[in-house]
Amino acid sequence: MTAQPEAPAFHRILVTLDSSRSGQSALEAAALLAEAMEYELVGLFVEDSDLMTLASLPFSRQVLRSGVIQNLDPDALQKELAAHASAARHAMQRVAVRHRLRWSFRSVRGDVGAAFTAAAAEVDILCVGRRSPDRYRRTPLGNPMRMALERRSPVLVAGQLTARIDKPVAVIVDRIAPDMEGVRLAGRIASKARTGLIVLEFLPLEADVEAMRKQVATTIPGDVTMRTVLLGRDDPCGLLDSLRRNDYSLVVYGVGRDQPTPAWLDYVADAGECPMLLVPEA
Amino acid sequence: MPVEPLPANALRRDPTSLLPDFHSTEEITEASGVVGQDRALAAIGFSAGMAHNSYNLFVMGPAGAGRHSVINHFLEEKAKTAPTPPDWVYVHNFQTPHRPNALELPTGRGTELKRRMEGLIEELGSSIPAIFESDEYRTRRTAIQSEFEQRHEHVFEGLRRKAVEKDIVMMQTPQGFAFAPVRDGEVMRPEVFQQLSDEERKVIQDAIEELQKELQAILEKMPRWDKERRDAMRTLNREVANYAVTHALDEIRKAFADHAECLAFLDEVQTHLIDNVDIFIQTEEQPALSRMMAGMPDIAAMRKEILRQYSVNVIVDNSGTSGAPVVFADNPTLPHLIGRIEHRAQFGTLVTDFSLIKAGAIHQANGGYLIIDVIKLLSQPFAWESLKRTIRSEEARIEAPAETMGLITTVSLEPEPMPLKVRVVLVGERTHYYLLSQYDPDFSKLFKVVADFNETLVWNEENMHCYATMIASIAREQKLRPLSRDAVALVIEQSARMADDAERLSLEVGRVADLLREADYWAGQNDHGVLDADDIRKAIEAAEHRVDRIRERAQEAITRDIMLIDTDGAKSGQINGLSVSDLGNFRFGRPTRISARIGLGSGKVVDIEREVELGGPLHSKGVLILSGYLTAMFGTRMPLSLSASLVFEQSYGGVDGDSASSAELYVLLSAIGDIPIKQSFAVTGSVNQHGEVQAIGGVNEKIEGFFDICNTRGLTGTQGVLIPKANIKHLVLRPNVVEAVEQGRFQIYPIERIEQGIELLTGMAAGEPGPDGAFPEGTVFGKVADRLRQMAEIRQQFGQQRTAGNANDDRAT
Repeated sequence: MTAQPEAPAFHRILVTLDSSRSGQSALEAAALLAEAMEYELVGLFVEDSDLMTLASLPFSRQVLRSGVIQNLDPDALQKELAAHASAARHAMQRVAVRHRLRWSFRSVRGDVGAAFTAAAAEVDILCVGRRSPDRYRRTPLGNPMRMALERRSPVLVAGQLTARIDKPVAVIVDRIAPDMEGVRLAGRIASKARTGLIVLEFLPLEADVEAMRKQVATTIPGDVTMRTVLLGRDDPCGLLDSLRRNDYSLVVYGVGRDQPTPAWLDYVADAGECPMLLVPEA
Repeated sequence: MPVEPLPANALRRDPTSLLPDFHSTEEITEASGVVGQDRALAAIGFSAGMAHNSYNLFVMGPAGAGRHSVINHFLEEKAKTAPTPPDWVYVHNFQTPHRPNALELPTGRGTELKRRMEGLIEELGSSIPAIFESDEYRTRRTAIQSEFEQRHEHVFEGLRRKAVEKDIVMMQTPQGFAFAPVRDGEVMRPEVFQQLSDEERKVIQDAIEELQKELQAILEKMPRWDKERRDAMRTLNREVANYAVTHALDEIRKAFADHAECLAFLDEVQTHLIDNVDIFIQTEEQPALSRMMAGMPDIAAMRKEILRQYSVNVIVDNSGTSGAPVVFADNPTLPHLIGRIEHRAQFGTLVTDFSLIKAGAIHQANGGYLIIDVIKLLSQPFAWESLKRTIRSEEARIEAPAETMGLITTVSLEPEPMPLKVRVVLVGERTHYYLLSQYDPDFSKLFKVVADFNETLVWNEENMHCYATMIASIAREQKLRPLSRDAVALVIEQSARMADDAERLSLEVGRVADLLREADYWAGQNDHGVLDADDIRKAIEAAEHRVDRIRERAQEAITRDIMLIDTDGAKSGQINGLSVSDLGNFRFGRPTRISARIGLGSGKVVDIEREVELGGPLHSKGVLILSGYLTAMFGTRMPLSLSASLVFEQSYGGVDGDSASSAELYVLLSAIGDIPIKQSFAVTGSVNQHGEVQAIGGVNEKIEGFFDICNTRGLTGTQGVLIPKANIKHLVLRPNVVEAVEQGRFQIYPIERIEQGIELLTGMAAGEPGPDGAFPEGTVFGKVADRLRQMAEIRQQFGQQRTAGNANDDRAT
């Protein structure tokens, strides 16, 4: 008997918006998943309060990308952030209309991490760009993706290019988790999008393959066509090659609290160009 | 000596006795050559054999003389033994795109190159993106990308760490980066900063300033690093593309190894492909519509556009040609003749490229022969001038008409002209040839050979045999029923009628073929297996009937006495003249009453037709000749003191020609001498100043026209027509006319001199002058001379009275 997946509570995907290229990719990826899942798309633009504080300091200056150094004026910064917020709203509107989505947009001022955490509490899936906009300040202000995973919310890492969910959805299974949340969500997306599901088996030597397969079979919806690909045990090359071929619309990866390591996760997320949905496991 | 009427056998020539002995044309199996056109054939052969570009040919002759079929047949035979010309293609000129290159390739290889390049385009369309998606390429690209990113990461991370050591954080602003002091993990607030000592604040400010300078230095290096990355990527892309493209082009290079121009083109393709390989790697990140709205180029369209440049436009494909081409330009508009450059709409503008160049007839005929109807050519704007320019320059240059006129100022295509070696054959009528010769000085320089087609052929035994063979060939080629011997004889007789000459046969092959086809139709209607004389007769009658409504109306007007024509009795100053109405493909004759009135005057004959501008110059000339005749005959011993007027009664259209001048002279003599003319006669023939009657045209139609009127009213046996004796050889009359003559119910008199005619018409001797120059009494000329003398005396008396009256008046004053 196939287990019925638990329905998400909010039916919303949150995407943080900025004017960067990765931010645009995140928006596109989120829209595609929202379309497939029939979720509402929620956009969030945060006017960083730290930046406003910095601008208030008497010596505050900024180095432009051209290398020119100029004063950082609070009023000018305020206007620029407002303009960015407006552009982000329009970008979101365009994408939502194109994908025929329900959507909402919020612009808030405050701490980026706090704002993101607050917004994440009301959604099912968070979406971030592959290159986080805060790459130059990962510490000590925090990383939204890490924070979201710690809050046990799935995170969608946008890909380089996504046209539509027409190729199969893949799910990486690298251990036998008790709930199989990653497999469950991957099965649900494949069912909604009417694509096949490919289970990428990347198991440790000691793992019981048969038991794992039995568990996967009972987790996915009955209407999903499933195929299994055994990628070798403890050898990452097979998995990375498979991801690099970009034969999938979406890769789902169930991640535990300690496993995999952040470095491995970055490595896997960078291997292919399709979006990757990271799902917290127990 | 009185003139005798012509016997029946002089009115119609029976061809049967000279025809070869056969039952039906099925027995004539030999192929018919071109009949009666030896001069034209020699000219065609001469022109076709001359190499110089000025020896083009003008074929002239009447429509239906078989000019097209003869020239086609001759040139096709000649072309069979000539070498097949090469193929020509247009390709993109990568150096100067608006001047596409023309490549010459051996026969049939133009399409091969096109096919191979299409295959290449298809292959590259998929193989180039595939090779750029290969693991090897990705790995190398990622390595370059990673190196760049690591370099970035390294310097930024170093700067970040340096900042952290000083309790400073680097932040991203909307336009760049900024450094902020940190206390307890939070950006220092202004009030906290203000609480710091001056020294502490200076330390922070100095540290931030130093970091800013370092960051500035890093950012200044960024463009160079980015350029290095782009260069590395470009080098990688070229290397990968070069491998794929060289491999794909190798086979084509081998196939066209002997053609340097083709190899040069392939080299250009390779270079261009490698230079533009980025377009194959780029992917659409937005749908085409949104890209377009954002003003971004459509990648797929750009790829397609680039690949189009590698295609081949085959302008001349001689793969299916054996020997030299013979092309007939049926619609010689400028674009159809010298080629055209088409355009396609793209985002509201018209664009073009080498693939839209279309060949004209001149390209198709290159290396062979081009046949054009001159009237069609001359009626097309710019076509004649372009053709002359093309012949003179010996190269086919395609230009838009507006460009030729200098109307277009925007850049268009200027395709490389192709070398041209073509023999142009113009087909037209003689008038066209003479007009062109007179008014276009280039014409005689470029068309030095003329093939003049005969309209007729001497009707002798040898030619009759050829003619019968030609009839048999037409029947065979047109898949008609075979003709009986009688039918052939009737066709030949009809041919003589078409020629308007009993001693010649018409060479209007088209009309003969029409007659055979129509007779074949009637044979089918009558279930005849063989076309017999009745079928030919029926075809002739039916063809006439279809167009003779006007003739019927004209005859009806006469028989109903609406048009006044007497066919019996005798009247002074009135005669039946004969005229021919030409309706294009049908002619018919009809009588017209000509009347003359005289009075005192100064010897002038007034042509009323001319006075009202209904008479043409030839008619006026004929009337003036009458004055000359009268003066010579009667004006040497006294002044001619008459004024005469001549008119075609009930004629409301134009009159031209001098064929009525003898009738006009007869009626004038009748009016002067008051001598009645027999109205049972009709007269045709022109006259000279010496009274000799000269040949005219349309004699058969004229005789038949008067005969039909008399026949309708009832033949009396006294009716007939006076024709010039010189026209006897043109008589090919309808059987019913010949039959009436044979039975003595109608006569045809051949007249040599006016004296013979006037005697017949009046029944009175004409009269010959005595030694004193006076004409005997009781003769026509005697009566005319008497009357003229009387008029001269009256005029003299009138003059004397007037002189006397004037003298009295002078005295009185």
